[in-house]
Amino acid sequence: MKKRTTINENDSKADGVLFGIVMFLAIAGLITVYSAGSERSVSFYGSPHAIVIRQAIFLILGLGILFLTQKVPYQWWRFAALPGWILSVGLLAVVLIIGEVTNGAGRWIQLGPVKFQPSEAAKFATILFVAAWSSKNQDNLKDFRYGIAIPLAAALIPALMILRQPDLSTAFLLAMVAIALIFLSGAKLKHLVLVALPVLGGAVLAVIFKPYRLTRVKTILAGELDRYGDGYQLYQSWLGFGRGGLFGTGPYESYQKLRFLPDAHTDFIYSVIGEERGFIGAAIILVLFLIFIWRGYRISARCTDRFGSLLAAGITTVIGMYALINMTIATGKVPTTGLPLPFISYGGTSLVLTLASVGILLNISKFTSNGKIQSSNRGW
Amino acid sequence: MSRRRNSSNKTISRDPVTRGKLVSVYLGFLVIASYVMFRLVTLQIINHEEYASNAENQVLGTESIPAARGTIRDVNGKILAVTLSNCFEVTAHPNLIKEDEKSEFIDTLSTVLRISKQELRKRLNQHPKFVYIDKSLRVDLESDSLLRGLEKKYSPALALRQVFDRDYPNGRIAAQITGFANYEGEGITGIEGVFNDVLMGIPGEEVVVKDALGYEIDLPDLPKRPALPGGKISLTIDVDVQAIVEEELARGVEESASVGGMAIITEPRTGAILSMCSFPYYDPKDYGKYSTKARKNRVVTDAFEAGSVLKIVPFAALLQTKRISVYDLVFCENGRWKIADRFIRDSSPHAYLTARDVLVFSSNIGTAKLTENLSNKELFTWMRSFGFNAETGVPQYGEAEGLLLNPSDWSLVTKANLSMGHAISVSTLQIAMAYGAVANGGDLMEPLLVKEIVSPQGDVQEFKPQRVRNCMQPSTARALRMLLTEAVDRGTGTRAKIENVSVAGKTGTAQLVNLKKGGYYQDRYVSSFAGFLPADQPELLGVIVLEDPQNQYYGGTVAAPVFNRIMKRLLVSMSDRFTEEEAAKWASREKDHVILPEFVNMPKTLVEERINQLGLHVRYEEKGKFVLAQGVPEGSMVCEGDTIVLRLGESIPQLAEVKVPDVRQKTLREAIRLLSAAGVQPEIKGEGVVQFQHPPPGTMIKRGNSCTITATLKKGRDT
Repeated sequence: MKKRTTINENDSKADGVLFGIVMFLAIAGLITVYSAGSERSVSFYGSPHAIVIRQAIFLILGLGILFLTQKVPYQWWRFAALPGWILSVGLLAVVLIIGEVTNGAGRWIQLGPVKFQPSEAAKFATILFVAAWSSKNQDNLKDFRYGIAIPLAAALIPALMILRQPDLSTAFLLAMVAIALIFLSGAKLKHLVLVALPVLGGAVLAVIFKPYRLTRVKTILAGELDRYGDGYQLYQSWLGFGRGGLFGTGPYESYQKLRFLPDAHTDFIYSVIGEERGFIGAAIILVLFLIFIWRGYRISARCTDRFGSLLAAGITTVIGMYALINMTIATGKVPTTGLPLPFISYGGTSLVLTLASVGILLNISKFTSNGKIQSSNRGW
Repeated sequence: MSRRRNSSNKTISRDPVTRGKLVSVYLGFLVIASYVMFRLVTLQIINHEEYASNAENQVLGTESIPAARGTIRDVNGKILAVTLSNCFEVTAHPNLIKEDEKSEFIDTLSTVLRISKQELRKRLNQHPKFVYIDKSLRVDLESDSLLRGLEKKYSPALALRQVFDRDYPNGRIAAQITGFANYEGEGITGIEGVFNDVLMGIPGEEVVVKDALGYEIDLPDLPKRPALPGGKISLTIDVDVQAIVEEELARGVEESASVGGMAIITEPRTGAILSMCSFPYYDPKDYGKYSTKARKNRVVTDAFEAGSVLKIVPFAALLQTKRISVYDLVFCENGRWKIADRFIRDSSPHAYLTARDVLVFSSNIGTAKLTENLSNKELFTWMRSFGFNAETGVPQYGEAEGLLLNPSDWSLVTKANLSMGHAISVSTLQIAMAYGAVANGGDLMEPLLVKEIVSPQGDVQEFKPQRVRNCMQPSTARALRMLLTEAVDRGTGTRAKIENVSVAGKTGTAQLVNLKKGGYYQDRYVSSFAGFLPADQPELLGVIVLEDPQNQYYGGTVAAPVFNRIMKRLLVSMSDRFTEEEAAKWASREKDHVILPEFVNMPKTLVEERINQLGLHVRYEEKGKFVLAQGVPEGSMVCEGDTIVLRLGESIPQLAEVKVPDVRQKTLREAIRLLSAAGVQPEIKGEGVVQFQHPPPGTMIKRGNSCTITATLKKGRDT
């Protein structure tokens, strides 16, 4: 109820627990990518090490950027919000145009030797924009236009563009993160429900107009998994978890990575963890992400500045949501396109940008109140 | 709750995100996390076993490790078929060869593989994605390392796989017997086919890990059971003999302009087959280029009407059952005899022939008439007992049993036809086995083709000679041997004669069956010769068949010379198989069989001297100075060392009966003298040389009764 007015960088240190978790997850990811990606690595690059070396390079690059972003006062990002958003939307447009030209589903922009995935950038740019917008217009958030319309539009424009790629999962996730952020920022719940309905309706329409999505829905409704059709990848994921049992097969012993499980080193890497490290390993990863989200929200709650608080919550939500949705897809019963598991899945853009955003989160953690002011914040 | 409080607070907008909202979102995360946890427990703990086995089933497989096929050798250990392991299957994916490397690729590969660049280019263009460059490339050590280097350089565009290659180092020689194993290493013909199970060995098995695309993943420590190489087979075939036989048969086929030919050489005592082949031959190196006829071992698979070579069967029956004596006279109808509505013809007309000469000169009419002394059933049984119309059980595919009707289905002429080797189809192998029985003293042997089998596990199975049955008494076989020796000495088979070695044998000339119209071709023949040597203790037996010879066609003219040439060469090449003593013995064999003279009424001293000269032994019954009777009648053929039983008496009795002497081929004057001296009244018809007498020689008649002799001016057949 009391307002925190001073911002003092030396109030607290960066959140070491959060950073430790991130490092643990990233190293675990590197080890799993080495195993899960070795087959693909051999067939694509002729060496089992190529993929893990690339991932290690991106990890070092990402940690370097993390080191920078945790130094950069997070307030500076406020100024990057609008240009960043416009740039990411522009990049998505480029991807769409390339996709039209090459008549294929494109998600990447080739930048010399590296492939850049604009949708990864778009989600952080959107969070940044919504956080900046909501803190700037904090007094007008009860107004539908300020509280809901603008931030939602900021999320829906890139989301729809991502949907066109087509990448339903990422688009849906972006929309979900935006709604969560709007909710956290203090928009009217009534307004939120009002817009959530059309979004849900839109999702239903998106499903109906794409037959392959419809078959997925049918599969779900039937409750039966088509092991050799739509449900192939998911069933292979289950087999991986199941084979792992309680303690797992041990590192590098996965069978499912032998081309049985598509995307074993990216979207379905959690299954390989489950296979090689067993229930214990999979559960540890799950718990670590829960602790990560807790620490992220703790930073958000303790942040004395509204922009910082919203940005921390947004970054945490997007990473947490990616992680939990990824794990839900891998273990669940709904065959669908995958999402990367943050810090763990192979993929340069995702890793570098996620680590960069963790850097921002760490920077925000330096400006927290240590829970002294607001007694009700205890526990966060 | 805090949200509501916040909304009513004016200063709320300056606040950071409230913990209450964060808690609500976090609770959402916890709900999702609980679901994930629930699923993890379900998948990893509750259903672990099921998923684990399903996952393993789709990854683990067993792969069979091919076993090297066993070796086939001849009787002396020479290799007929062997599996080489220094072979590679060379394949390429032309689409994976980089354009700028292509000419270099072709250059180096053509050098290593020793094929022209042009040919290599052609093979690479067969399919854009996958081509065989060589299905089994044999390599030496040097090109082995070169090839492996190339594979490393151009992988995956170039791929090597070690394969087994079946090699037949002797080419066409014995190929029809050895048979053929196909590219997959499966025996399909001959010994390769019949003993495929033994030769194949036992493939090993290894557990393999295969990825979803079926590519094997190299993982260490997977369970493995090595392959057990195939068993070894040794045949009774002698490659050196086979080479001679194949060469001479081909020469015989060529000289007689025959369509084809067959030959078999056996060891009559054991039934072992030393060689067999049928012309045309084939070379297993180009298996696909040859006709089935060339690939088949027709000695075994083809049955045909063999003709006169089969006359030994009715003769064996007639001699053993004592229905005839070799001196019985038969009127041979001067070459043309009507039986029922058919005519039987002789190639050279005869009037009267002794039974002996009926066989020696191969008279069809004579044989048919003599065979009238046998019932249909008897002839049928004798034919069967000689092994005809039944499989010999030789380990070769497609053995012909031959056709022979049951006596109940015979027509009026069947017996006559059968007696001269028609109305029955037989295989060359069956003829060889039947003659083997004559040669070895009456035992029909099982053909022995496999000498030894060593199983993949190392168990040795040796094959011993097996007797099927005794099909005639030793004396019958001996009598036949003597008749067959005469057939070569002075009958139809003179061209088989070999100096210093007594050869026994029989010719055959049969009209070729017209398969299209039925009946027989009037001008197409199957000519054959079956014989063995040395005649009284045979070591080698051969049957030669020439099909549809275009020039001469008599078996004695066409097939006998082939037999002669083969045997002459074999005697030289196999001389080490016979001792010098045996060789010396052959030289004196001519004397060995003698026609027993008459001893009755002769003084014992004279008889003793005569018997010693002939090399015979004598056993006397009673005592006395004169011979009253002899156990073996005059005119019988006996062998050196045989014992003759003579009954003695003190004086020559004045017999009420006298024996009619043999006056055939004598001049009338001489005949009258002989008959008168014997106490027989001659009755003369015609003039010149006596051709026929009645009653026949040796008949006992009352003293003073008459004997009719028929004489003609023309001197009869030459002797």
